[in-house]
Amino acid sequence: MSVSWARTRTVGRTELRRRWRTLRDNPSQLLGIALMVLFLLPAVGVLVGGAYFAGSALTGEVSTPIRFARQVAVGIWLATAVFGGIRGYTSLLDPDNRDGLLTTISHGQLLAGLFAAEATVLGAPTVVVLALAAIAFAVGSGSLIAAPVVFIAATLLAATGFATGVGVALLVKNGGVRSRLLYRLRTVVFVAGFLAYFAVLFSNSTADVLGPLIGVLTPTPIGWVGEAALLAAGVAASPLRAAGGLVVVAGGLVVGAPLLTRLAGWLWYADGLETTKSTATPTDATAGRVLSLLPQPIAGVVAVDWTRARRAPISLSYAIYPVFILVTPIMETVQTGRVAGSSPVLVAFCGAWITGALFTLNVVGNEGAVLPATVLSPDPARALIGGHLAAGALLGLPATTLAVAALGVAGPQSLASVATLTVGTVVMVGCAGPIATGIGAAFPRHEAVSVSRSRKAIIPSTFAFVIYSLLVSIVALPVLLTHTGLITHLVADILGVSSIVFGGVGIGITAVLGVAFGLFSFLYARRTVDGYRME
Amino acid sequence: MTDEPPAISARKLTKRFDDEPVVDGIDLTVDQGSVYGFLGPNGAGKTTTMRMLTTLTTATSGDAAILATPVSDRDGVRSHVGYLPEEPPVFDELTGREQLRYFARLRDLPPASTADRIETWLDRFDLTDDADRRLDDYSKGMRQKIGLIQALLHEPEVVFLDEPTSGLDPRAARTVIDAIDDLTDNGQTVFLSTHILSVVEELADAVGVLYDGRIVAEGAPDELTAAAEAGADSTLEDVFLSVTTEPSTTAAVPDSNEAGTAGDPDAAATER
Repeated sequence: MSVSWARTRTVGRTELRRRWRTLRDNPSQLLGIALMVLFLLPAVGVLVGGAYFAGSALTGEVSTPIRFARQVAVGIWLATAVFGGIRGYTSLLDPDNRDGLLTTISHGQLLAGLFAAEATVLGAPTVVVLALAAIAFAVGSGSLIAAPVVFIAATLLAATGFATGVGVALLVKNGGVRSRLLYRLRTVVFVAGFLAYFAVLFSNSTADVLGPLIGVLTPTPIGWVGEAALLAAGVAASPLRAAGGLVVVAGGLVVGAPLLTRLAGWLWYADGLETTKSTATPTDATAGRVLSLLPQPIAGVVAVDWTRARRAPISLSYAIYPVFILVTPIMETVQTGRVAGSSPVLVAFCGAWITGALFTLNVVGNEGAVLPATVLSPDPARALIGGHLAAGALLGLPATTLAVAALGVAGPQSLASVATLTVGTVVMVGCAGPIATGIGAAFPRHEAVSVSRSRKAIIPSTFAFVIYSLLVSIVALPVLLTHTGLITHLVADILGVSSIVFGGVGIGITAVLGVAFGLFSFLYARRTVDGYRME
Repeated sequence: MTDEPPAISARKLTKRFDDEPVVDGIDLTVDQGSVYGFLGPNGAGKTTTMRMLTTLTTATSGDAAILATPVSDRDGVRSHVGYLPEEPPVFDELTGREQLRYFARLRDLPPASTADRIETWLDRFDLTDDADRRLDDYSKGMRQKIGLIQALLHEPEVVFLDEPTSGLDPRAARTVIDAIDDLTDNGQTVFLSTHILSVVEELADAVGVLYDGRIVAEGAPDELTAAAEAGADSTLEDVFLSVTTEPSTTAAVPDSNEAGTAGDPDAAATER
């Protein structure tokens, strides 16, 4: 069955219809996309303005226009390649109902349809932006012919870059379904990649990392395409290289299409890995000893929470958000070689925030299909809420307390301040879980939602997370303020109060707020679980 | 005996995962216009066999063909078959009618006659009133029916059905069973995998029991029951239980080379 335009359009159009309906059902996702578009608009303005000024600069004295033009060409290609790789890996190459589609149409036809959908959603706006940039460049350089030439060159670069990125994603995915080692390492690799990305971003090392790569690609046909823009603007460049670059890049698309189709076939018809299911007990020896100290029903819930988290870490998505706060102090620590002064306080806050978000923010909904059996068990509230609280606290309390104490000792704070902050950390972390329970019970989420386009999981509701984050911030604020260097010194100078007393006051207020909110929330959760009826 | 090729044929068809045989050298011959009941306990290899025959996965060794088209020719096989997997391949975001129209377009079916055909099937399965509701609002049984219509819409010569009555109420199950029965009247072949033995007893011209990747019993239902140890009163359930309990049961059965031919009433019931 050959690839036909009619079927390509049918697959693409249905894919777009499904995506739109999914978005329409998920206002927060829709809002996220709207915000992203809003944030991208200034970038488009900069791009178009930059193209105009680049065109204008060519009419004056530019020392190295060829090198610059090539670097721009490589930049366009690299950016779209990275984007294509991410799109390919995260969504494009995991079509829903693959079995139904592959017993109806060829894998090449399916891939063509998926590309058609991508071309409409992402390609069309990109083409508009590139057209605007090309026109701006032509106006700036005063050469009309530059507009179509730059547009064609940039579009070819973007298309080839995107296809290359998808090709790399296909290679990676093919490796993942064939190599057990790669399959098992994928989470580690992605966490490492994620951390490396932010490390590069926040350490302003983007140029250092991309520089060598751009340097390698600049003297290749990808870079040569940039010279076509120069020629069109009437600047001396090599017509041979410009034409060669355009031919090679366009040829890459022609040659790449069957290659991508072949790779997609290998992926979609692959058997996948029969991963060995662990038959071991869900907890290791140390955890087993800890759990043996807990009442049996609570220990059971803890063990299940930990096992589910380990096997489906995506269900803990909300625990990632607090980590972003730590990026700045971590970068500061890495760059200076000394523990940043703000690190212990921020780690204390983030630790508490994460602890509550781990298992306690959806105490009822998290049960999923098991809920009917759970609510029929003896004293479900004690087991369920106690278990989820223990599951979070047993991880969050020691980890956060130790981290705060260690960072405090290694940092510039006095030992007294470290001691009070450590006590404050215990209070904050201890209160976070109970605060989360009632909020989760009030705003549960029972059904699995799309965490990414290809992954579904039961995660707490966004509203519950926002309310919880707000409350936990209010509770933590006194401890945070009374352990912030500047405020501590200021108060000590003005009121003559020692930092220990000041910190103690902060802990006291946090404890009062935390116990009040936590108790109220916990009791609400308990009442909800005890009185739960399947409607 | 006619010259027409078998609807489904397989020789020494094998699938291994990590060197472990999931399907272990099975031979199959299913005549055109017959219903072949494919039985076996969970994990026996039934779905893997169907996936190999529908080209969704490649065999580690051995050959298989659909109407003489080797399964390595995906395009060729695709044009002959309809497949309803255990989980109906439907899109939650589409309505029932949109889903069927979508797959009809992908099959290049003529729009005018297809629209009538879709309405006929929807009416037959009592889905007309719900056809414009989204599939994520459908019950499991309704989704199953849409999946079945989708598999049959292009009138394939060979239909692979994996648990087609799963999740259906008795009335809906009866509709599906009658629909399957009608397929053979049109000369279509049905390869039916199910755990509901009464459905197989009612519909199947031949039955194959897969156990641990191997076909351990094959033949017409009445011949299998007649040959069973329980004697004349035995049922297909007795046969199933006797051949899928212990691997040693294979020791008491004839040589595998004497395999019966599915759909051929003259073929001897053979256990393997």
